[in-house]
Amino acid sequence: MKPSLAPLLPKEDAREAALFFVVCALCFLACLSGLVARSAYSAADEWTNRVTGQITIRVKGDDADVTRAVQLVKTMPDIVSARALDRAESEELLKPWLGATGIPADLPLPHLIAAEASPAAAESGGMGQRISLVLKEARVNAIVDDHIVWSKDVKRATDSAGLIALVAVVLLGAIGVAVIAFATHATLLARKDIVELLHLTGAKDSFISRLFETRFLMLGVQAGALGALLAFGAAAFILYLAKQSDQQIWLLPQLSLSLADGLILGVSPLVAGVSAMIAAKVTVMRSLSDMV
Amino acid sequence: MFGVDTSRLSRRDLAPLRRRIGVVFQEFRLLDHLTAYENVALPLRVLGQHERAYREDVIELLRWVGLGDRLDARPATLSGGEKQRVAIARAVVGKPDLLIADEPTGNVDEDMGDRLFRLFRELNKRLNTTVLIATHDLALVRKARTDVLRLADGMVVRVPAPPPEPTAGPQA
Repeated sequence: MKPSLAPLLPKEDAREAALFFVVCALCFLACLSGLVARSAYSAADEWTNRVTGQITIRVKGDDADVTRAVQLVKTMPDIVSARALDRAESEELLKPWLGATGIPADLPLPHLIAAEASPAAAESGGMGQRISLVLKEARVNAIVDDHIVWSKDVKRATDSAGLIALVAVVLLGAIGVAVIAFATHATLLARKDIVELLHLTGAKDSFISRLFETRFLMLGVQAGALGALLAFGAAAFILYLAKQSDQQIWLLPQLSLSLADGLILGVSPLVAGVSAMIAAKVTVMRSLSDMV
Repeated sequence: MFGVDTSRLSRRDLAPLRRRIGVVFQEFRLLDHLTAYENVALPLRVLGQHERAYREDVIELLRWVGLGDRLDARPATLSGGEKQRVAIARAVVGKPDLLIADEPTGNVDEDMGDRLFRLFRELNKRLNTTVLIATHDLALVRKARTDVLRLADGMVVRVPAPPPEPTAGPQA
């Protein structure tokens, strides 16, 4: 005699193996989308934080005009700091366009001043206009850029990317539930003999449903965990490739081992398992309601 | 049924009522992935009983139907008669008040049919179980020497026990 009883539902068949693959793939895509969404939002935050309060002033004049402009800006209320960029710093800024091979010494470079407004002033806005006005009154020819226009555009773009990724996560979740419900129904049909026999033997609906719920909970969690693990590996690989090629990686999935990443990768298998369990319960109970 | 108006019962209350009825299906309906022992124990397992509580009873019942040495056999390796006996053991293991057997001798030879019929009589005497057998086997009906419910033109008619079959001569 065997020491333990065989499970009332036979071990998984080809249908369940296919479902395992589908849930795993959906979870993989959902995790990647989640990581992309998080990256987009954190990139937007980082960019915004980095440029908020930063003001760049391009002075059209000689060094004396630059010095005068720095003094004027420094004395303005709500300005934390202001300094003229030296030639090396200006060359560094131009490197992406002119290359790293060196800029001819006789090439005239724009005179730039980097100023920083206090957080309160940056938050309320209008600092760039105030500086422009002060410089204009002092007859200093300058162009002031407080980055507000493009930073708003960038934030809007990254927010949109994040929203699209979130919608993808929700859609993938909905598809997952639908697929699981369909597969549960197919499995139930294949196990109709067992369900009917258990029903006629006096098993309560909840007892029969629990057999399928447990089976699909485990399937969902295991497939989801594998999908999340693969997503972790894929994200790490993409990050590695991006770093190797020294390219911008802002909108690619990021791995920081932060709480947010852990939540995305850890919660996804649980969501997959619980979704599978609920889909199985609803499908089984609906099928059982047809039996007298 | 059992003094209860089943049309007024909820789904939840129907399950306990079903447990009072044992059914022997003509096509056995054994679960192929379970052993003979596990198939017989199924109704007790459904009740949530622990194996320790019913193990000896199930083994004893399987011995009683002559399958004491086939506990671990799966249905695919059992003969028609053995499957029928497993199905009967499963139907009675929960000590039902009513046993309904659909053509229980339809898939077995005459000797096995006689053995199974004696088994039903034993159940009736030992456990006081009401046994209702649906059959086309008139020889079995004659041997039973009990009242017969005949289904004719959509009506159930109670007829007296038929006279015993003549003992001499081959059967047609």
